Formats: sequence, C-alpha cells, structure tokens
Amino acid sequence: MPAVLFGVATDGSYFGQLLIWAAAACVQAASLRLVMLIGEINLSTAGFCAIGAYGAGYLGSTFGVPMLAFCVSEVVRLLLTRAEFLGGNSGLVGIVPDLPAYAAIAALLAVLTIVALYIAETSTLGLLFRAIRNHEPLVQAVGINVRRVKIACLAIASAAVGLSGGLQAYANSVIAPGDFSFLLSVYALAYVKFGGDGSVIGACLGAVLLTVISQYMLGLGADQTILFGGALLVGLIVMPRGVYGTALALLQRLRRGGRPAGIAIPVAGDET
Amino acid sequence: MTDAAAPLLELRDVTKRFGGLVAVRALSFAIHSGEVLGLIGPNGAGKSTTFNLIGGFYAPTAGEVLFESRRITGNEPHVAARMGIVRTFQHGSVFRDLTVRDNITVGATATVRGHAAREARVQETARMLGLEPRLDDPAHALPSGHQRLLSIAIALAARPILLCLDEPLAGLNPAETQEVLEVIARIRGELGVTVLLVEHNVGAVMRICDRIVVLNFGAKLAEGTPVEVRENEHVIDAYLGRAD
Repeated sequence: MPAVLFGVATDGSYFGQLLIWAAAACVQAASLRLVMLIGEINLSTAGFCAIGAYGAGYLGSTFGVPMLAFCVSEVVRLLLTRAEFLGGNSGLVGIVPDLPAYAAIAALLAVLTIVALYIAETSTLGLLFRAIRNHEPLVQAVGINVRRVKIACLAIASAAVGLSGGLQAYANSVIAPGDFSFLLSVYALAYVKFGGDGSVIGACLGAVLLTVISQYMLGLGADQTILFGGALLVGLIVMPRGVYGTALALLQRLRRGGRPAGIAIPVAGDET
Repeated sequence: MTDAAAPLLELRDVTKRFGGLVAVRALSFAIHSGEVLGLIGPNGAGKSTTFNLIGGFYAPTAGEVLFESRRITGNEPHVAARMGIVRTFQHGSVFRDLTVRDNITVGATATVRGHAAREARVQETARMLGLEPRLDDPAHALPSGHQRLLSIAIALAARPILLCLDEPLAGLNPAETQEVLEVIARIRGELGVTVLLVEHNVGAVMRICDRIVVLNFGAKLAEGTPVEVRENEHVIDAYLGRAD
C-alpha cells in the first residue's frame, strides 16, 4: 500500500486515485443502503466487490450474482487465495489504466450506478422493499412473492458492488484477496451509518468523508480500522440519523426557529 | 363464480400441531360465497391458527383446505392471495412509514396490472373507505379507526374473493366500531366479497354475521346462525357465560 501511495503521489494523480476510491465507496454505500431498505444487512459486500475487482482485472468486465451473505465474502476470499491463475495470495498485479481519463470515467460510472439505485428505490419495486421492512407478512398476504423481491434487491445491490470492485481494481492497479476481507463489508456499513441511512445522499456523503479521512490517516501511518469503528459508533450512538440527517434536522430547526410560530409548517404526524 | 352447491372455502379435518400442542384439532367447516362468517372462541381456541392455515401461512399437520373446490393445502401465502384469499392482521397492521396512497398501492401491486389500472384501484378503494382526504398522509399519523380502515383497504385493493379479517374491531371505540361494521356490510353488499372474520366483540359478530363457528381448545364447539349459537348450551358454558 505505501508503495502504491508513493507511486501515485509522485506522478501527481493522487487526486484521481482518491476520486476513484471515493466513487467506489459511494457505490458500495448506496448499494448497502438499498439492501437496508428491506430491513436486512448485507455482509457480502466484500465478496461481490472481490468478484467485481477480479472480474475487471482478469476479464476486463464486471458482474454480480446473488448469493448468501457473510460466507460468500469469506468463501470468495479463500478461493482467491487458492487460485493460482489469479496470482494466489500475492494477488493480481499490473492492471494499469490510463489514470486521469479513467478517474473521470469511474466517477461517471459511479454516478450513473447511484442514479440507477435511486431509481430502483423510488420505483414500485422500491416501494415493496420499504413495505417488506415495515410488515413482511402483510406484503405476502396481498399476493407478493417476498422471496423474489428480496432476491431482486440483493441482485441489484450486488451487481452495483461488483462494479465498485472493478473501479477499485483499476484504481489500485494491484488487487489481492486481502483487500476484500470481511472488514470491507463493515466499512460499507460505517459509510451508511456515519453519513445517514435516511437517503442516498447521506450514504454517499459518509463514503466520501470516510474515504478522504482514512487516506489522510494512512498518510500519518495510523490504522484506518479505528476510524471506521469510531465512525460506526458515532453513527449508531451520537447521531442515529448520520451526518447528513443531523445536518438536515438542524437546518430545519433553524428555519422553523426563524419564523413566527403561527406560520410554522404543520408536521406530518400531528393528529387531533 | 362457483356453482351454488360447492362452498367457496372448505376445511376438511384440519389439524395443526406445534410440537406437543394441538392448536387446531380435526376442524371442518365451510364458507359459502357471499356470506359473512364469524369465527369466535376464547383466547387460545385456535382462531388465529385457523386463519394462518387458510391464508397459507401455516401448512396443516393433517387434513386439507379447499378453495373453489381446488386443494390449496400447503400453498404459500402469496399464491393463496393471488387466488383470492386475502387477509388482514391484528391491531390494524399497516405499513407505518408509507403514505396511505403507497399502502394501498402495495395492496394492488400483485393483483392489478398496469400503472393506470393500479392508480384507479387505489382511488376507488380509498373512496370506498373514506380515506381519500388522507391519501398523502403517512400511515402512522392516522387515528386508530382510520388505520383499521386502511388495513382493510390494503387487503381490498388486492381484489379478494374471500376477505379474512383478523379482529377488525379490537380496540376501537363505539363510533369507530360502527364505521368498520358498515364498511364490512358494504364490502359484502356492493363488492360481493365473502367475509371471514375473527372477533371478540360478540355483540358485533352476532349483528353482522350470517353464520358463526365457535372454537374451543382447537376444536369446533358449535356452528350455526347467531341465534342458534347464542342459545347453544355448550357455547354459553365455554364462552358466552350465563346472564344470571
């Protein structure tokens, strides 16, 4: 990792690299949030990320397949350490992209993916996701095959994560099984919880903030796992709505505070 | 719909066992097209289990369930729903975080194809239950009476042939109770939907049901018209109590 950083820093494209990392993190966060809409936590982020990264690195293409959560991440990682043609434990070396142009393309791909995820969320399918989180049996009772909807949700999310893995592969130019440990799935959760799980914007904000901070910390030689652990705790305990949700709430309070009480907008939920 | 002789739904010797507990024991009864049938009995009598067996949420240990003369035993809930058996849940369960419109839309999603048709279904259902002015409110903001109506609206949007209501009156005040009872009467009268309901409010059940099945300890204690059930000695001893 230090070698990679050094190489990047010297050719002056560190910003491009950071952009790709942040873009990949945003896609991972947005994708995990989609799964959280159905009330589940997806711990297979790392696995699909690895599939995407190796797919991109080896075949030059990305794909995602729905499978089981945590074990997938670990099984994929363990398999990769055994696969000689993918470089085994030492990884796949020399996936060298044309960086500046690639950074722009990566960012664009990430934005398109996140927009696609947002469209999925606001579609009828997304409505079913949220309904399932509220009351799963009731969704079944009106004729919806909940299992299929959940699989669709995981498939969409996993495909997106696969793409993020592809982006990362090119940004790092070296990928190894160790890059896709279970921790990566936890990082994604930290992005979402820290930024705010109430919206895609919150999730992406968390991803960008934590990516930038962690790179800065890495420069100081600190261990980034502390940062993600801390961010997760902040998101869970101090700011349950995350940075973005809390900021929105504060803004709203300021705006309401600035108005005479008589014209205050009635809050949905009032009932007499 | 079906020929007049065959019942719409029939339970034949249905038993449901949970480990050592027999929740429903060799239960048989039928629901005929167009009627309102009440299922009553003390707590733990097997009413909810019976509901779950009809809706496909449980598979019976023994016996079979027939709908429109077809065997539906062991069907999954969504399959039963698409055939026309739609249920509500206790406490007026709704999708709390969604708007009233979205709640009813979910109800119509599987059974009404096409965006325009679904939208029309939502409007028409909301109008029938008097929820039209609240379409854009989140469900958790509704008073309990409206929430109860919404839970019925979700089920109704799925175009049921047999609507199963799980304690539709529990926890409602007299005015709300009256409102829900009127809605049930209209569902049967205007839409021709057959209704099965589990309910503890015996007075209301007696008023609205054509026939009543009384359960006790998982078995059928009595079956008949409200008058017959009210005068049945076993029912009085086990459930209704004596007036003296």
